[in-house]
Amino acid sequence: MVVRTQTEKVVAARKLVLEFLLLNHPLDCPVCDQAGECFLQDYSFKYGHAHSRFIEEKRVRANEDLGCGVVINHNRCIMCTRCVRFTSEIVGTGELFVQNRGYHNKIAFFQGKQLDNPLAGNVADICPVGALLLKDYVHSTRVWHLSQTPSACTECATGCSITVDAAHNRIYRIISRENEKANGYFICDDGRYAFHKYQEDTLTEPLVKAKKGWNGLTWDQAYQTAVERIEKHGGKDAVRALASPTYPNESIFLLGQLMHRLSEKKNLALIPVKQEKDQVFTSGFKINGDKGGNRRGAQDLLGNRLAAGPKSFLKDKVGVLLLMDADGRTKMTADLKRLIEASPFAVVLACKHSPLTKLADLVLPIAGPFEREGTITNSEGLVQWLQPALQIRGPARPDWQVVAELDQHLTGEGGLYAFAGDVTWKINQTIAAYSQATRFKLGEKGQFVTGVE
Amino acid sequence: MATVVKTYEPRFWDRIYIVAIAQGLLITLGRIFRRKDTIRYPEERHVPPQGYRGLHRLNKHEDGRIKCVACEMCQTACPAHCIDIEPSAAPWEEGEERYPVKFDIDLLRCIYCGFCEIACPKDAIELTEIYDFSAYARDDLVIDMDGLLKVYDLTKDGNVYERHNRGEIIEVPITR
Repeated sequence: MVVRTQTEKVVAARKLVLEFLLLNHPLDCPVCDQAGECFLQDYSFKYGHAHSRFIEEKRVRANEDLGCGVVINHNRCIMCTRCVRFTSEIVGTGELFVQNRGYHNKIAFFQGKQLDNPLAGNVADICPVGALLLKDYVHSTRVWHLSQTPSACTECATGCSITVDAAHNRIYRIISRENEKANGYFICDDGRYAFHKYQEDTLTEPLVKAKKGWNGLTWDQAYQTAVERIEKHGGKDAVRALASPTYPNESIFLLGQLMHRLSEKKNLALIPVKQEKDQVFTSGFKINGDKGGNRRGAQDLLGNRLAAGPKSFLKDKVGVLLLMDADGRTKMTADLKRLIEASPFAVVLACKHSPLTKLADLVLPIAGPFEREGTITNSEGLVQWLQPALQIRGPARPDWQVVAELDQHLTGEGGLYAFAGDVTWKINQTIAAYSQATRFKLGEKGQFVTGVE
Repeated sequence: MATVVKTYEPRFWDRIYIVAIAQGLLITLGRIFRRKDTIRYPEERHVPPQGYRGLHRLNKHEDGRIKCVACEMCQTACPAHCIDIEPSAAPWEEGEERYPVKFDIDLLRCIYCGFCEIACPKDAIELTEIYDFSAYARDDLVIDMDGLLKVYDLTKDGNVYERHNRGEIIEVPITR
């Protein structure tokens, strides 16, 4: 059988179909946020007429709020019902349906029950035209100004592949990136809107606690303070560290090496991170309840050097604490608070102000989640490359660099690394299971690690 | 190849300069009775030909709303990257749902090619005939949205220089 797709007859038929689709479509591309990535716009250019033969008035309906930060512009809708099928087949909640039939049909939600599910933002992504819009993105920029950075989400242990759309060092939106190894086609709203919370209360310079408030320091002064305090309070042997499972493998690995050089004891644990219930949807998409996105990576790299938790440090006398703040998701447990109280000096690596930084004595500003570079391992063991979408703000430094420089100041050992890929290479060399997870083999889709002892 | 330089030794009549001065004054005398090539700027101003591309303006609807919908086509088309637009949802109920809250044009960077007015789907940006805008600082030659709308008010009733020469308006442009 031969199927011809480009004959005159076929093209004519397509033109007719498009004419019907454009009967009520406003063609307000200059105003529409979908312009530039709109299928209907592309087909209009290819098959459309410059003028409509439809002499009646176009149907006009008001915009409607669908809930969950999604707005529908009924005029632009072409009734493909992708959003309806998404809520029923992927999420399983089925809030949306097609109301009325024929000329009067429109997308609507069942009486009084708006969109209410943690995947709702995806309907704006899958909408082929500009009918479904995200409130926080609408009228903010045009898509062709955005530079798209393929990266991974660290908000939970699912580790979804994402595309970060940024321009002028500002993130405008985050959309899902197809990756059958990680998330499939969708991302959750927590990850989609995560960038908003990292835009405020950011830390830009090293801070040391003074009698009143905080004093700014240069990086050299900050490292010097840390070294002096460690010598003063029990020496290297008494230093304890809590690594954050939200940071890339690179900084966790370097922290592990640093702590190993300081003492043979189990002086390293993971900081408690907020836990929720796992959410699994009809399609199998899973929002992991573990909000430490790189817990698997931290466990793989640190292995049996990990102590049980903050509680296990309380048995001995605690010296200086090295803490990594889990990007504001640190769970301030009683044990953690007691540990910080017991310690004479707490050094915290953080990208923004959080309850943990308030308790700290020295705060070192590091790159935020979308400024980081490195690898993360999700709960299934998929290693993905985190690509920075933003430049690091002000004097803040990459997380791996801060740990490496601390190592230099404390022990005088530890390699000098020029960029994150150097540390990745070191991990490939050191950890057998990660030997294949090199920067170039990871690509955009990542690679599974196997056989971790 | 060597260049031969011709030397000229002035003679007596050349040295007293009277002949040369008289010749120059004769030319001046001749010019007095001819049509003047100069104009008495700024009292009188040159009227550029139709299609001249000068200072930009942002057009308004009849009810005073800005025509621009901040689609950023002009910014995209601009080869000099001199336009900076910040879109926002429009405050009015009727009409377009999007409008610019910031519309800056760097007049020093602009090359006055007119691509922006060709790209504009709403006929909102246009280049006017105004050519004499100047300032003491570079920053003053970045015109903002208010300035561009003022240019529209000034130029909507016909060529400003013709009207100026007729004595209808005295003030010509405005930058920030």
